[in-house]
Amino acid sequence: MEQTQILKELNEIFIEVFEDDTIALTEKATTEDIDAWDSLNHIQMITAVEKKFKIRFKLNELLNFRDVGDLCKSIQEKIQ
Amino acid sequence: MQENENQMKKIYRNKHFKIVLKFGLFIFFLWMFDFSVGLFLSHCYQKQKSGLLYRATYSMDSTNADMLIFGASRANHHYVPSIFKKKLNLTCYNTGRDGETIFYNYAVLKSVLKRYSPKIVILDFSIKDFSNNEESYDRLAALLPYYESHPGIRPIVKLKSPFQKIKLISKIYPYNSLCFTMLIGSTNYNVTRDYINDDNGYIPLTDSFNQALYIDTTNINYQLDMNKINAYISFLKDCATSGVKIYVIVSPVCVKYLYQDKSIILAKRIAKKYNVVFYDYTNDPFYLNSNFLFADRGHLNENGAKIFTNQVINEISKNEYAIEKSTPSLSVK
Amino acid sequence: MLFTSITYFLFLIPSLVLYYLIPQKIRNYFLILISALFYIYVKVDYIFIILFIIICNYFLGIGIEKAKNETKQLLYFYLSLIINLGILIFFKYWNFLIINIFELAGYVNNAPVKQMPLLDLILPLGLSYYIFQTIGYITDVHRGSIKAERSIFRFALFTLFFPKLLVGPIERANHFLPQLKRMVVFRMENIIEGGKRIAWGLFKKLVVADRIAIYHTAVITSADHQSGATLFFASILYTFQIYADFSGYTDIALGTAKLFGYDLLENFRRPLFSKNISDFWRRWHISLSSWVNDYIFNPITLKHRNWGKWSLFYGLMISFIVIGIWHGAAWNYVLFGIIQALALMYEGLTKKIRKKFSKKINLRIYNPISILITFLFITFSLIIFQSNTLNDAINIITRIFTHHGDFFYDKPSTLLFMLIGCSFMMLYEFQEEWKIFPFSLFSNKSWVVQQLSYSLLLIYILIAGVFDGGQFIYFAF
Repeated sequence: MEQTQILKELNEIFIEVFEDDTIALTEKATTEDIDAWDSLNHIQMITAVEKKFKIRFKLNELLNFRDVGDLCKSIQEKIQ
Repeated sequence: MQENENQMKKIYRNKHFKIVLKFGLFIFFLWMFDFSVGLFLSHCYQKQKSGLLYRATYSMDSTNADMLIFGASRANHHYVPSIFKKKLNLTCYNTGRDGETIFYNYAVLKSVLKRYSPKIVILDFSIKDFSNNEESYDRLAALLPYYESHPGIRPIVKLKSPFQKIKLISKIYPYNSLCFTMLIGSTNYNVTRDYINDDNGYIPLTDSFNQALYIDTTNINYQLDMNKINAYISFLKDCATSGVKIYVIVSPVCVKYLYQDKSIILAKRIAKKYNVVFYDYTNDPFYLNSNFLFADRGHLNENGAKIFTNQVINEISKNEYAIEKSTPSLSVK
Repeated sequence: MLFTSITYFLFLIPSLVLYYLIPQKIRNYFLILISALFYIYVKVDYIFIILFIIICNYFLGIGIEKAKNETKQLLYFYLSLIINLGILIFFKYWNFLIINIFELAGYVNNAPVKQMPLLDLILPLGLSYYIFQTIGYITDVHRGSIKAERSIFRFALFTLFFPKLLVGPIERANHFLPQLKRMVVFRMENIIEGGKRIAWGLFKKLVVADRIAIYHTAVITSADHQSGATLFFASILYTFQIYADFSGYTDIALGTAKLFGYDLLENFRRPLFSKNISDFWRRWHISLSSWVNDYIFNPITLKHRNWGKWSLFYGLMISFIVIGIWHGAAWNYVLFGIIQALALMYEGLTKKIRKKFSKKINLRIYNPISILITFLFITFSLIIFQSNTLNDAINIITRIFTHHGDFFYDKPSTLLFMLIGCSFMMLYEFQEEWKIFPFSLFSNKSWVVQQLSYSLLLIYILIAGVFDGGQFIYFAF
């Protein structure tokens, strides 16, 4: 799957979990950019992502994500 | 080529010059403010007409009383000058100051002896007065305003730390933490506060203490402070050299001690060595049974002070009479 | 060596001058030397502990990175954790653990506690800070977030750097190590910025914190004789005191680092203006809370993400108990931590409701009230934090609500000193937070105005700072 497609699907997950229609993710986006992105939403979002893409992240990977771009890259690696 | 070099040199010097200039200006501002504010504070301090700071200055620079009382809060609240005047016909000033130490007492004594020799001096001594603690050195700050004008007390002030001289470069430093006290002290509000109306330095306490007698069995071992012991010895010696008759007195407290305090033991021993009369009212049964004479555990109230002062007068009279029989040095009427 | 002592400045100024006179290449070695001397001056024995930590973790860090297989890597990682935590727990918590274990055993056996193997250990100053920093470093290497430091000297300076040695901030490898790789050039801006920061630190510590401390100590030690109003007033002032004390000291640390050309992590961001507790812990002791967030909270919550909300509660509880106990070996610190965790759980659960509520009320009313409530919560938490025993804390809190009596303030000058100092500090922070005034004194465009402002600041420190223990409050009971 292409990065742009992943980003699009990710955006849908974010909108649903964070309950915010205005979210428009970019690869450089971080927790600073989105108001509703707190700890609870974060783990709910990760769980939702794992469910949607049928993947499982390792703890080390999760702790090393710096922005949405890192998340996308990791998803891409895992679904291949 | 030469012109470029000269221009470069100019710019280089200019930049460094600017830094030095700015730094110099900053130091100048600091010095200017420190000097002017320090001058203002010093003026305020000297202008005090009543209160704690005034009494300290009066003790060192103005009093000419025949009899002087030295000590900390117990001295300040236990010895009534007007009674000494009435019964012994000796003018009396109470230089006692809350929270102060033998260091302060010695500094005041030195300043006094430079001007005149009083006939009698009473040094009030308390339990643990020779104990080693940092707080006693912090309280030397009370002497800072006199550092400049009283060279004799400088060694005592410097006991606090070798850096006092550095801090004293600032003209404000001696008046640290005093500014509001002084400013308030010059307002009408201060004049009406009752503790300002002192009787020649003596401040009467009006409360009445009604708690049960406390029996002290703790006897914790503590370190003795050589500086304090030396100050005490110097105090006694200076009195002797100036022909001052000195009494060291441990005044009453509302505590019964089941042990002997080592500061008092030592003070007694030193007093004996220098032929100084030492009265110890610790565990005096009359006071232990009269808690209504106390304002709190450590201090007599004005009623207690009156009784105690009279008792001291009796003791002094007896002593003077005994001495008079042998050496006609002091006449007590 | 206190940051507010003349000794410190007699150490700092010649060191600084020498630092910029010697060749660039050896500046960091010089810093290692003076940092070591600094620590030795505090107490000779401490240097051995920190050297041991440095050497072990330097080699273990490289070992983790070079390890051929995962088992070996994990082994080195756990070994470093055992060494680091072992030393910390031993020095800081040995007696606390022994007492509690023995008392529990005695309670279970219904027998009185006999001789306990208590040790007369002195906690090396700064241990909690640099052990946490080192654990952070090793964990980062283990996670692959950073490369292990190959220069033992750079690693030594990373740990030993004296401005942050005694009271933090807890640095991060990815923030501080890269700076140590650069050559430091003399810049006047660094000297000025550093100097300004130190001046503010001295103001907060000497004029605000130490002044309030005199009053607060006098009131709390005589708590049984004080009225509720007095205790409440003293407790509120204590919040300002602790903030001024810690942030002032940190200012001096950061200012000193800046003088030497280094930027350390910010530790405070006007925490007394927090609108809720979550906000507070993002503004107070930031280096500690973000450390706990990255190395305890996130790993725990992500590991148990399938628990949903409960993963968060579990993470919060552990994190804040750690934050609590990090401060000291006593139950009141643990309780302090638990209370913070409970407050955060409450905020997590009510987030949506509170957001809806806030939209209905004018922000000009809602925000100040939020700040006030948060401030009061912190004040009451701190009563527990500063009490020696739980009973003391309960006593004070109940007295605040039940005891009527005279308000004790010692003398007018005491009040004036405390309130003026505090107000000035808060006014400056108010301006930093909300930029209400269009002009500025301390950041004015004209350097003359700035110079006048800072010289007056130093003058006020001379007038109102607490030197020689300051004025005493005399009690007679």
